[in-house]
Amino acid sequence: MANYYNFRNLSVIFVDDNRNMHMLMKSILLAMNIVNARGCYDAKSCLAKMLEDPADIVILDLSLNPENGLDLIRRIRQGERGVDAYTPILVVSGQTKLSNVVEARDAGATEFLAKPVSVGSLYDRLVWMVENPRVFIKASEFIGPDRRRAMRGYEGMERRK
Amino acid sequence: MTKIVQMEGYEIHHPKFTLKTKVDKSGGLTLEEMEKRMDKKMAALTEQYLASIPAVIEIIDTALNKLEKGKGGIAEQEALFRQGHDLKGMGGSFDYPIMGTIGEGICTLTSDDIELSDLNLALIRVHLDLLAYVAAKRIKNDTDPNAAPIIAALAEAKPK
Repeated sequence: MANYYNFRNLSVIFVDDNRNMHMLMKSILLAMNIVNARGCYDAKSCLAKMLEDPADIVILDLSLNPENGLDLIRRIRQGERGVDAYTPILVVSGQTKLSNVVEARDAGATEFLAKPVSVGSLYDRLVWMVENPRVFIKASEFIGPDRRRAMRGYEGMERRK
Repeated sequence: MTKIVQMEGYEIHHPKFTLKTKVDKSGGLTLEEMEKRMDKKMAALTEQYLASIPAVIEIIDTALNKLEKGKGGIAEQEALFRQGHDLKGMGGSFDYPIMGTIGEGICTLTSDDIELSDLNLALIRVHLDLLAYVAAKRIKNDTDPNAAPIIAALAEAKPK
């Protein structure tokens, strides 16, 4: 049998406040054979779902309502209510200025993918995340994946020293 | 069990479970197969997306009308930005990149670093008119013969 990544056992939670995005993301994930995908529209329901049944990866947008995605990332990294603080977090966002990427990184995101998203771009990121796991750093003002390695697609960005 | 290494002023945590433990390298689909699966669904998904655009136009129009009449505030500016942001993020995914470009333009014109009193409402109105036209004529991208005047209009509609 040929060796291709088998994502079938992955459990994904994706968070976006837009219904069209849910429709699209669900279809992309199914096309990738990821059948265990739960969608939610805000931070509160994301944390509830993570507690109900931990996810292997959380995919979230930065523009959520009422809380923004950065706050959700921080809350996950703090292990709020007992969620797994080490859960890989992929930000999928249309806010793509370098400052947005840096903010997401500094909040504790694992990787960043710019919208518009496609099967190809999501596949690329997931494979990258599988093959390049990050250790976690816990310091007085930061908890999250090691920031000393640049995020995929942003290899030229300012690195943490 | 997570292995924790103490360093000076911080800790390095090595989580036991990584994505690699859940993703096999056999029995999966090729990217080509995944894309074929997605292609089969795209027509239906795109129709659903396009069906949602009139509601987006209405939201933008309502907020813009209020601002044009001097009755709008930060809430209307944020509503415009949010709709622009969603268009920007999704137009390309549904093979309507021109809609994405229009959304990006609306985002630029309504971002929170622009004071309410400095909003260029006329340019935002141009973007809304272009969106309505593009949606009605189903103009996807620059290969459409009707796209050229739209693209030129968008280039002109950038703040000077």
